[in-house]
Amino acid sequence: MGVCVPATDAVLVVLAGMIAGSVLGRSISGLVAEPLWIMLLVGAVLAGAVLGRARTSSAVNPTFTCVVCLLVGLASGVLLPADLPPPRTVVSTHAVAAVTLLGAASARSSDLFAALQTLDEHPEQLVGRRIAISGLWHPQTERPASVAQRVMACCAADAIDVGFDVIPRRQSHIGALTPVRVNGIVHAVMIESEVRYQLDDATVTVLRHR
Amino acid sequence: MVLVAAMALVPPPRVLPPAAAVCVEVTKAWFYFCSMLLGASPFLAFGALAAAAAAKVAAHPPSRAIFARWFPVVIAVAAPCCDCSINALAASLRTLSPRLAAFSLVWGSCCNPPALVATALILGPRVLVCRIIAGAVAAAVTALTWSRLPLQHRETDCAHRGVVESFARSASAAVVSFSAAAAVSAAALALFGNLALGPNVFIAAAAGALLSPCSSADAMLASVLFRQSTAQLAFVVAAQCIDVRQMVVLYRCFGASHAHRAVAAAAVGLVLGCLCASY
Repeated sequence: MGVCVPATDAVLVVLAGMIAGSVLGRSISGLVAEPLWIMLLVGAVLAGAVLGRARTSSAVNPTFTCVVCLLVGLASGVLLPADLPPPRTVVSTHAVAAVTLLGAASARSSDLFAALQTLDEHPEQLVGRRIAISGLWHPQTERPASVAQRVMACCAADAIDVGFDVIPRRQSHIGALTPVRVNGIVHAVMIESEVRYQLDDATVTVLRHR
Repeated sequence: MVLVAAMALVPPPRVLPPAAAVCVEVTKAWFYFCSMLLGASPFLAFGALAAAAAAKVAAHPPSRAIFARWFPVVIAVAAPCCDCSINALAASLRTLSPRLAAFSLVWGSCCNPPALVATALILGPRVLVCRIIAGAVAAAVTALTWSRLPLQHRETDCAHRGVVESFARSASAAVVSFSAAAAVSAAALALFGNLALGPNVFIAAAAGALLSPCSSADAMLASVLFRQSTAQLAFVVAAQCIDVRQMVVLYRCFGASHAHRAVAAAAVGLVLGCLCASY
């Protein structure tokens, strides 16, 4: 015998299902900055709150509506993409202290962030010199190709790509978001009233295929 | 039916491209909305737990009344982790005096510890000081204007209920409140996220109010979107004091008159902060 599920329970069940779905779909790490265990804990707490309310209201078995809400949440979470493009497709070529910290925390492309931080603080140390950095490849569109790393403070909606514009020595057909190592000469250029850093005469080496 | 019939009269080559473009933008907005909701869920749950805990303590002997009274204030001001937790905590502040509730809400949104640390690291000490000034002025003026409104003690989501029930109600209300604001922000991101924003302070404030990023992320976004310190300050202060999310919370928990006064007070704080940043 079904019991009408209050809106309170429905909202929490949908959110718990979305968390579970995004974990199952392996998209959670690309969507939020929080560790996986925190998201699982939150999902468990929300589900536990709904079950706790069900016990106290003598509605022992989950109702049809509750199951539907769970399925809706699960479906929403599973269908989320793992590589959500950041709202701003323009790569930022400035480090910013906490961006460096956030990027270094992932233990990837520390050379990229270190180079950007040096350029922001002491550009004379790197401009005109050849450096090698690692990151993800962004093919040329209406803007130059770039090598960058995504930094996310809270969720994918506030993610930004931080890196360098790249002028390759030879035309390359590397796919987007392929891990690469780029070796080039650092130059500062003015584009739309902004100083941007690019790697000229660059050689691009694929590190591994996704 | 009328719309479908009208679309059937137009040749497909004229309808499909704009329809496809609209679908892409709607899909992007949905994905951003989901990421915002998932990212905020730990903080929404934390705020709901804090509110339920405060209500539980308040139900005990009067000797704990002081603790129960100040616990949500301390959480809102000192340890919200992210301003998202205020979505769930705001309702529990309704039992306090209007001045205390107003100051806690505005200061906790704009100048919580993670926000100040991020601002100091990313935007520098000067913008940090200006943010503190703007936040303090906005909180103080909001408290002053709210004190002149009729006192309205309303039942909170946690009053006279068990901890689980209190948590569930607070969390659910916070999720709904946050979702409404996140929908607006996600749409704005999908439509305008790639726009080149100039150094105009008003545009920066409008961008902050619409995009409504978390207080721990607004400094990073400000550093990427704007190069001038006044525009950066306008973005971060507007993103926490005049943003869609804050307005939804204030309207839900305190009513339209309180929300309007908070907007006006935040504008005063924003102007003063920008003046400080321009020197």
